Amino acid sequence: MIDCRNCHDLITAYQIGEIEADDLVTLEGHCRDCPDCDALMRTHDELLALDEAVPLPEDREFAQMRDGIFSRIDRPRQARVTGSFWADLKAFLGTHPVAAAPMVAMVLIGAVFLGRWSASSPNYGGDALMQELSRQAAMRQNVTEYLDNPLSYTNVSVRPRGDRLALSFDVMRHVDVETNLDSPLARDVLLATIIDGPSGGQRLRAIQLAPTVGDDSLIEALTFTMHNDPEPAVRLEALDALARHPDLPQVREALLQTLGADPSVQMRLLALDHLVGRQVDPAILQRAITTQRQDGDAALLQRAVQLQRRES
Amino acid sequence: MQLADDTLVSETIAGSHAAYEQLVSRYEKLVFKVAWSYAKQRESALDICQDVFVKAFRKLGSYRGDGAFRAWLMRITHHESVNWLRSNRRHLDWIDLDDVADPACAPQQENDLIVDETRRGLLDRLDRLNPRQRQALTMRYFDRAPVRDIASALACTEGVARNILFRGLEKMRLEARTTGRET
Repeated sequence: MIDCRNCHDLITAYQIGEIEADDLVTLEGHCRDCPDCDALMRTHDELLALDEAVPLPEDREFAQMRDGIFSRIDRPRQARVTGSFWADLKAFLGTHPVAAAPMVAMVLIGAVFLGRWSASSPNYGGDALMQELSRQAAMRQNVTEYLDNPLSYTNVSVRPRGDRLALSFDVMRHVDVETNLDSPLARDVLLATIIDGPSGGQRLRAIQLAPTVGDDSLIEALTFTMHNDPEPAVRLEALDALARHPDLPQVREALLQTLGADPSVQMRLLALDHLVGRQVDPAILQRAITTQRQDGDAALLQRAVQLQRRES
Repeated sequence: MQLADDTLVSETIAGSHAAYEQLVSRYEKLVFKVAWSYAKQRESALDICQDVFVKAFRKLGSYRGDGAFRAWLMRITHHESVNWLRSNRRHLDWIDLDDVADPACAPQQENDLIVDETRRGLLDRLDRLNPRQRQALTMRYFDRAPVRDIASALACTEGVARNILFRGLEKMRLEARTTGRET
């Protein structure tokens, strides 16, 4: 019979898969009589089972994640491709020197044409691109026009960088740029991320970084996300953000809709909490709660009564 | 034949994205599992996963190439996961609560809830370990990592790594008793 101290060495050996067969028999014998060591072994088994229970994403989701990784580290790949083109060209000219003169002439003629064209055409590089984006953003009246815009952003994400905001998005080409939090471009990309960010984390972050002043576009984006986002945490954050604008009638309507129709009881509870503080007619609340006859209606009705009593 | 990690790292540093893609494919499930143990939700774990591999790519120059890429990657994974946890902690309660169904749920759902409860209890107890114990246990149980790799990731001797593994397991048992989850 061994004591617990010796048993702990055996448990460690078992833990790392290095236990001898004889020692295993000894360990099992000890655990039958010692509830503490037996509980250690059960914790070990539970941890092994936890590994099996991890909800691994599908291959498609991992592939999307890999795409995301390479879109964020893509610059070196482009540089490599460019490098190999020049290397190929150099090798070609080395073996075909006669071709060099016509090629140089063609490049020169091309450069003259390009120079003339760029003088009379809009320039979509550098500052001009930013000006055009800002102009488009400022012209936009309503977030529903987002999809019709010729400069709509895709592959969007945002990150705080000190007191500025790092924006990342594709617009005709991929753009990485830092801008002020209150710039029209920042506002626009934030709205796009709230609605259509590539992951729950990105959408959550965009809601947290969104301006606190609620214009129509922001309210629309938050309402859309509160009703439609697949991630409960994102929907809750959108609800929280909307609740910061208690005086807007469209916010009240959106909260009533959530109270009546959201599949999550927690979302409905939070919507109820915000609505009760706004002196909404109890009959309207009751009607909203029972609109679709979902699980949790009784609990919500009870809570509504409690809250209204507390308010009065 | 599968190329060694260090060979793929060298090729990546030389400019081969295909080599890095092989490394990502090799370790994405492991990184996801560890990230999930912190975030407790798939979407966020995938976010962390992506951040880990982007950060690892940018820091490849600091990898010593001593055959311990897995341990090096695990260090980054734990670091990124802890960072994520710090900035998102308040949302975790929301997620957990949202999983709670109404009392009128079907018996099968009740069984699922019990399983979830056990799983959630384990994850909560993992959260209460100190960072080194947690890293050791996640490496051992999610990756079946040998003690040598765990010691390398924790920058300690194998003897110390064994001790950390045992202390971590013991602390989880004691936490189970404290929270009344011990069966």
